[in-house]
Amino acid sequence: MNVGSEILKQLKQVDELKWDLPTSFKKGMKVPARFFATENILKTMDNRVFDQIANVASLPGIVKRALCMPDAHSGYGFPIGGVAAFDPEEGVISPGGIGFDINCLKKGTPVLDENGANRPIEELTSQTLNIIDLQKKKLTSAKVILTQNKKPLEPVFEITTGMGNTLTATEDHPVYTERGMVALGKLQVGDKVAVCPFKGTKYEDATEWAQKYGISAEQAPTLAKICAYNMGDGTLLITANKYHAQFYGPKKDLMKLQQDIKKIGFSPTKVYTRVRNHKINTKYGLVKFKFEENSFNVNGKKFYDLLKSLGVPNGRKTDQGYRVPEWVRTAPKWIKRCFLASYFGAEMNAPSVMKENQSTFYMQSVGMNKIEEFTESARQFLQDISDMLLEFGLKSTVSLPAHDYDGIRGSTYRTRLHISNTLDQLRILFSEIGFEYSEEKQIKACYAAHYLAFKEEVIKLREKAQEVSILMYSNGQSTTQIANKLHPAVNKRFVQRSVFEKRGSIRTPENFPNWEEFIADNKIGNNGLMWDVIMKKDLASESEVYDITVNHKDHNFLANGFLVSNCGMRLLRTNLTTSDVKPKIKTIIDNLFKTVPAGVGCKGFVKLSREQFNSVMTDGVKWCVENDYGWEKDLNCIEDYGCISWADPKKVSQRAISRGIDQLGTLGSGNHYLEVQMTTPGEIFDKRAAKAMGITSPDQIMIMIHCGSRGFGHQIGTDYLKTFETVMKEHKISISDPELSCAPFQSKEGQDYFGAMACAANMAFANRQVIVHRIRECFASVFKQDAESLGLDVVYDVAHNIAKLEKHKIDGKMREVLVHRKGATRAFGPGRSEIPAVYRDIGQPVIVGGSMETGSYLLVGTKKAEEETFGSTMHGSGRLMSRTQAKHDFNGEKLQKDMAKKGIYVQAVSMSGLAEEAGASYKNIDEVIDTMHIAGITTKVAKLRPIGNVKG
Amino acid sequence: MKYAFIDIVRADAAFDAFGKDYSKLFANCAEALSSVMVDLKTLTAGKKHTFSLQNKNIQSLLYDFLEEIIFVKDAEQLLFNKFKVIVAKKKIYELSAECFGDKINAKKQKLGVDAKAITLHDFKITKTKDGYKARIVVDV
Repeated sequence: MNVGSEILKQLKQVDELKWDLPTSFKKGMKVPARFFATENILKTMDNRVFDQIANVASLPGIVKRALCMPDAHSGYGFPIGGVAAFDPEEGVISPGGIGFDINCLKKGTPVLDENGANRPIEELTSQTLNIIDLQKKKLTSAKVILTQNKKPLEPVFEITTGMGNTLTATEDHPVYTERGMVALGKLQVGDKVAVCPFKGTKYEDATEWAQKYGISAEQAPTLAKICAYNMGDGTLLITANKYHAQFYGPKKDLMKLQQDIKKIGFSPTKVYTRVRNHKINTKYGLVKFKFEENSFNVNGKKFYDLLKSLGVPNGRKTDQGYRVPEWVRTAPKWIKRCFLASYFGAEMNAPSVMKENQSTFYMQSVGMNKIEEFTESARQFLQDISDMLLEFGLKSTVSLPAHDYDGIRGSTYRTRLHISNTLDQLRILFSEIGFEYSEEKQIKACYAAHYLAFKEEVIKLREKAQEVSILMYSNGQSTTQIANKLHPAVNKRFVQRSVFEKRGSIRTPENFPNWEEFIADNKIGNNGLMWDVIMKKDLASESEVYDITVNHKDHNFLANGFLVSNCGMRLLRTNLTTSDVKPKIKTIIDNLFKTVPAGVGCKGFVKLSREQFNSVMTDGVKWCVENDYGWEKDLNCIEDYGCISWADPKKVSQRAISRGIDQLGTLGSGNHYLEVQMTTPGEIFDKRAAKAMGITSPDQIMIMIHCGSRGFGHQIGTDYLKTFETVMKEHKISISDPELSCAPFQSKEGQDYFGAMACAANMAFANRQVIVHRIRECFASVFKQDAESLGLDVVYDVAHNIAKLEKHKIDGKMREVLVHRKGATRAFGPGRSEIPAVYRDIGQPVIVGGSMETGSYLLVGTKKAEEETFGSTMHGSGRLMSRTQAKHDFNGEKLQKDMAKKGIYVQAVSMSGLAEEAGASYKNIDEVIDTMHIAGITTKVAKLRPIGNVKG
Repeated sequence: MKYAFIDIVRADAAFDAFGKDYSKLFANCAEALSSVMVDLKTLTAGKKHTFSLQNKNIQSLLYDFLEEIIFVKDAEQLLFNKFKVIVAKKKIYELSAECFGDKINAKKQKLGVDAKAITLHDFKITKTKDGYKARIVVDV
């Protein structure tokens, strides 16, 4: 059914040949979809194309936009003629620790959720975790969607770092190092690994407590944070019978707070900024200052009442007394942490070091201002905080009130809470409690926690050195000898002081880096992550490991359902002219019809053992060349040099192998074909490019092959469709179209599929190669000359159903993305390293097949394609009519006779199949080609007209 | 009516198959699938292929059943035109099938188009007043 006008109306025309489907078209679309088409082509597209491309645009991790080529028609899940790129990087924090992927970790490994609570990995169900997006280098969050435990089949290693972080996981667990992600098994002592210094607080069940106070257990952590913030930097007030809650602070902090407020179902206003003038009398004299104040409101009685019922005071805080609400004071520790961290985020000083000693931190404190009669209440409130801190092992003191300033309403007194600033106390504060909402303070807390851990390690080391020095001295060694033995940990002066002086506490050495230096040397990005060094690595024995996959909005997914046939096109040139070939066309086609098996269930002419098939899967065309089915130089002119390196036969089922092993050297049926073609005068559009591709005459014979990996690739697709279905069902991943089944690219299933798909692609390249071999044999026999001297060289071979990792410039930055091309051809421009040297000046050859009656095109890729379509273009002309209808409207035998009259000699295994392939059932290829030519995506090189055809 | 081809997709073959019970439905689906690949009248019986399957979901069972027919076509170059299928519900659905047909021979048989896979497009079994209906779209 052709697309309806309601859909067409929603398209926004960008220019004559580009149309955008906005994200408003369908709920869930993350990016818009762009169509390359004339208005006429658009009108003849079937309506499902629009829905399908919208579904693709909703996939997690999709980059920039989904694309539809002018030959697009509906497929399964993904439209045929669809292109989409996905972000392949997954940055998931293994929080409180090392590594960047939550999979294959030993039982008990703590994992941090978005509320700062940590729990052992085996207890995760569907929490939302804090993660780092390594590509964007920013903090974000993702929901756990898949948890599995299994017996590790691979070795398990345990590493310990200098700062005392440990990781126990299988050898393939990816760890973020200076060289990018490296498998745990490959790491060595001395390697630097990324750690997150923030560990959070242990999770405990909160249902009973929540019930007691009539609070939703799920919302409790968010409520604790919001209330704490308002009690610090906010107000509840009623003005002219209108209820408001106001929140103040840095804009970034407020934006996070807004998200939390939305999470519990309320609507904050936007953030307003105003400049305020202040004038107050302090003990330092009259101080006037201006400052920029940011704030937002949540209006309405409902929110006001909620906060009030939770103990948040209304009106001026300095003029009244209140405590930390009871529900917070009795809450599970991790919810207390939410309250404290949020309050500190608003009210506490950011971690900073002293000017005089830049490796020592200032005390962390909060203060509370009250008018005289309420100073006792301030003391009580801060005592409540102090009691809560004690539960974390933190000692703090509450000061006496001190006169702070005289404002319009009288004198205000400030009471302070100071947290002990000993090394271990600060470590607890920064790594377990931290700061909420204030990203700046939290990042500093991470840096401080790591620095203090470093300081502690160094001091411990020196304490040990002192012990050892004393021992060695008492055993008769001289200080010089001892210093030499302990070098470089400590120097001679240290040894002497250890032995001869009664040293109180050991301090850090003179050359110890200050905090600023330490941060500069060790931070990764600007999100609190730091480098740590592996000190120990051992084999561990674990009987169970845990595998977690998260659903991250920027998390890439690998979509199934289309990478199955690895269909592609290959073009051969010859030195022959039409006058050479036309008289012999019948002989040639009859010969090829006999020697290249085609049709339903055809059996290939290459007999392979299991072992040999394995080699075909891994080596593709290389295997063919080694076994005399091709020339060495053929490899140069095939996409990926005819051999995709990440093919993994272990990921291919026995069933797929059984189905595919007899199919090497078969054409298949349907729209697959082998066609002898000619160039014609006036139809060589780019002489320079044509020459580079071996077309030197406007009367030259070319040969085109269109086929793929046959049943083999399809079986792999079917196998993984089932695997992904189970994965998604178990974990309730909902995709709007069951045919868009997919899996996270970095998950085991995703990677397995990627490796298996590559096997199918290699088999497809090999299949086209062995058919070329038969063609060469045929021409050699007909023209009584060897194929080499007939110039039967490969022009190029392109795949048009595949997913590849490619680097593209997106929004000004080079990024690696996983480009999916379904019924779309790669079309790189000049200069790309992936294309053979011989074409690097002109761009990549693109072969687009038309119907058997109209002919095909040879095109070239452009830089514009790289900029606009991830280097992609169409693959064919696309169908207009269904097969059922074509079979009804046309007769195979009659078609064959009509084509012969027009000078095209066809041999087909199936006459009904031939009818289905009638030219009239396909779109006008010229219009499709011209669309992309005018749009500058792929430019025409030559039109190739058929003179002979073999079909299945 | 055992099955009818419908015009809902452009690039592939789609049909609705019917049956008064699951056994008949499955057999008719298989026949419809085979008819895509070969003119059934031109296929002589000479070979038999027997197999059995189980699945707790009847739709998945149908999918697996049809997928086996496609698999055997490629793995053993066999096409069938007659099917004896028994689908019974015990704890889960159990199927046993006997497929009658012959080795593919382009000279003796009128071949159609190669079936590559069963798609999930609109794939479902629905109850009708006379029994069941299945809609299948075949990737060709």
